[in-house]
Amino acid sequence: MTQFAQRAVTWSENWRRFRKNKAALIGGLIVLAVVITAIIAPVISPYNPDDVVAGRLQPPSNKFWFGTDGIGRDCLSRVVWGSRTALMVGLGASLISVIVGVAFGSIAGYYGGIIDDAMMRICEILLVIPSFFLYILIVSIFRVRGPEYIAVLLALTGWTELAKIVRVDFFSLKEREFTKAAIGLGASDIHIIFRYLLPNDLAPIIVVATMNIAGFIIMEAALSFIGLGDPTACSWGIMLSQGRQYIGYAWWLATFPGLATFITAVGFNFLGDGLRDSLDPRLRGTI
Amino acid sequence: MFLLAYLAPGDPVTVFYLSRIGGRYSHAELDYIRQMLGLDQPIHIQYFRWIWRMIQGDFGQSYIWNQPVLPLIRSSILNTLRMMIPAFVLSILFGIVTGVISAAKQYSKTDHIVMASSLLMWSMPWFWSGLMAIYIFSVYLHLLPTGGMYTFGQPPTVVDQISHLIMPVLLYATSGAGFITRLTRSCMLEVLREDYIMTARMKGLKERVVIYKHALRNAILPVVTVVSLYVSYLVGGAAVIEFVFAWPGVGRLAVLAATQRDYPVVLGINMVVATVVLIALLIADISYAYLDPRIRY
Amino acid sequence: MTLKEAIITSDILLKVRGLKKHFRLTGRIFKKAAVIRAVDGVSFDIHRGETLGLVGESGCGKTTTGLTILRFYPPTAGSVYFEGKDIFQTTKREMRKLRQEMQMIFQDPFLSLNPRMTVYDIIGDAFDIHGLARGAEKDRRIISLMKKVELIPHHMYRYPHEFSGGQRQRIGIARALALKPKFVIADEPVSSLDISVRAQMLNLLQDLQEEFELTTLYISHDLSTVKHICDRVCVMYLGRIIESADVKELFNNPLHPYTKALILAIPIPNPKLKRKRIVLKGSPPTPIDPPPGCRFHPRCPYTPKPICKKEEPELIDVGTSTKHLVACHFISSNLRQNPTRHLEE
Repeated sequence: MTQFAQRAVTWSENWRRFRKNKAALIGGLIVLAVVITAIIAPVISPYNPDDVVAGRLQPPSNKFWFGTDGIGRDCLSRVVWGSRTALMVGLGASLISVIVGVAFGSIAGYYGGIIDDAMMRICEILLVIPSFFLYILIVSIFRVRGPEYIAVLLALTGWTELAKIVRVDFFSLKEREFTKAAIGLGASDIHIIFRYLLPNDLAPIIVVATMNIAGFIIMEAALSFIGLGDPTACSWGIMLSQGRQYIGYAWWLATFPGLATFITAVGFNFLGDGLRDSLDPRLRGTI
Repeated sequence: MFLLAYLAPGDPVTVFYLSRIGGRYSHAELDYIRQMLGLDQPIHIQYFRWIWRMIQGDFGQSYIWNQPVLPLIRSSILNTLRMMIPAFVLSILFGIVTGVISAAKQYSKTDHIVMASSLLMWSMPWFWSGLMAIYIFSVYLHLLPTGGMYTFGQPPTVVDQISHLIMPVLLYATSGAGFITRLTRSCMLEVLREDYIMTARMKGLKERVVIYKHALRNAILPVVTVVSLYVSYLVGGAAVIEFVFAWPGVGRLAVLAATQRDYPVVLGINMVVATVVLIALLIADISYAYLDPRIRY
Repeated sequence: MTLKEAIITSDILLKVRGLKKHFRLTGRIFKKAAVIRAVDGVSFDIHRGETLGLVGESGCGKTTTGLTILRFYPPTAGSVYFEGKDIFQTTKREMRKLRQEMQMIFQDPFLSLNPRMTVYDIIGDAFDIHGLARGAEKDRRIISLMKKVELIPHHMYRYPHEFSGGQRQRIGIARALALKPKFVIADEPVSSLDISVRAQMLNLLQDLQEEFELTTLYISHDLSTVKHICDRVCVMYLGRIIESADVKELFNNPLHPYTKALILAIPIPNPKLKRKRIVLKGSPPTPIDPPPGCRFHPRCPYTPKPICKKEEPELIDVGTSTKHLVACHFISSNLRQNPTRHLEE
């Protein structure tokens, strides 16, 4: 019971706690930097990412900071533009997974009983099927290779964790007295879910959604890397997979996009971790 | 899964033969090949035939490699396990030790460093670190082979294989260790708040005894559960590592088969891997019972 | 039913008949699922404008009774008639409408207010739910409610954690009254408050009862507040009513040994006054396995008769001027022998 009392803190207090957490602040700054880079990509990238601007496989120099790729495109520009793809996949997939996961978890947790049982079986099946192999299967079958399809695919298998969290929290939230009071006022199920239960479960949802963004960005890069992405897209994973072919003599091809992926993932994970510590002490230190 | 494969636009026969042989086959000939492979039957008949054969251990023929699927998968899974098991053991050992240390000294400098570095490991695109490792240790330093299981053209020796294993195993272990460290820490913290830990401390037991004998034994249970739930995820991670190091495991097989639309192989792998994961969950359940004296089957 | 329907039905606002609520504990495999008989056959009437007290030890089922009447839990058996309408037979939609008429004031004001809503939203939600008022009209009504429960209206955009326990309970009361209900269940509304604010709160409740013409079911384990606020009292023991009477009658002439013990246990602020107290043996048995016969017999200060262990006593009218019901074999056998005399201790 006290955990809920603890949760009833104002946002300003959350912000104060968040600021004290150095790692989280660094994460937040990284995320901010990546987002800004993505927004102003056309301004800061020195060349058009798809233009062949020089000879192939030029090492990093004053003119091409990150060198050029296998057909002579500027790697720096491609890394900068790749941030758009990465963010789109990460944010998009996370948003879809939040919608699906929260809806699923809410219904299962609120109604319980047989509905809950059936819905949880679905979750378990999704957990047992190795999602990575499922991606491989689906991507290869439908020949859907663009980052937007990958984002949808990732979201559609990546929502189970959120669903489970929301479900378990709803079990306890719906037994609480303020929920009873709302029932007593004659509120409908939808009213209760949206005004009473979800607002009290925002903290874990935000935290998991943030950390999922990092996971989705890495997964997109991984799928593109093993050759299941759209080879014409400007994405870090595609650059990595091209870089793999030249690993023997052009180290820069793989280094920079990988570093970008890593830093972005670190940013979102640290941000999520910090948000957890400040928003929801109950979750402190869990994955 | 099966349904998905057959709803796909374009059947493998067309894709395979048109791409490989450049459309030199006539329609009649293509139909003949389809008939040979049993692809002309209605979908439900194909489905039941497939299920029936699968129960008998026959996963069908690979379209591409032109041999039965099962031995193909079997040998590749053995290769995967050869890499995964040492990596898994390493990451669990490492993760539990660091997690316990971190929890025992909560909010200390060590704790902060462990937590931050485990999050870094967790954020690492492991395929990229694999590439970097290949570049540094193989291309630049010439210490280790770039990939594969054996050095081509040399008789297989234990030393040779170990040298091929070092990089994939270590990389795979680090990506898992970050996760297990954080998990262990949070489970330990949960347990350390319990009353019986307070009692053990008040009895005057050494802190080390309290932590390793009383706390860890209880904290390990949720760790086992959660790790077992993530087995399917870990298998996916292994697939990418295999791809990077050209390790002839099941993940690499799946990727190759998928890019060639070799459905029997991809489906077979999905089935086998799902079964393996199920078995892993079962083992986790049993070890749970072993660790928790309250549960007896 | 032995309950005599002396008073005309039209005058009865709420009629509870044979109400039962059992909870099933899901046991582990090979173990039989236990059943908690939290409420096990409760019947009473509440007249319009009356305040009925429901008292008993913690765990005797009084809160469950309240929650089941308002259909927070699906009932196991029995029926509840509100203005002659069986509310257990209504559809979910009808029930939502009906809830405007009956409200609940919860025990713990720290748990019963949504921590993520402002006072304005907490009180105003009732208007949103039933589409009763919006805009300026909603503001006006919320302000007037806040004034009525003696809250400062310009605190309305604050969150519950910024208030003290007493103020929070006032918010809870304002929320319950927003829909102008006819019937209110107050579940230990003051027990979680500081002693210093209890009297204040009880007076406020009484004032509001008059102003809103409320009929109240007042649930409490604290007999001194019951004496203060109630017109009639039902005493519960292990899921059953064992005695019910007019408040004065009950306090002056308690018949059931359990009621006697309860009343004698009320602290009296006079150290010189010596009283004989009845100290009950043990704690109440669990409602999972109620003792056979009279549920009270293992703790009864009288020496139980064989019948006490076999037969469950029925609630019977002892025939005083006011309606006084009691369920005890000692009383009923005595009455049979000598119907005019009351039982002497």
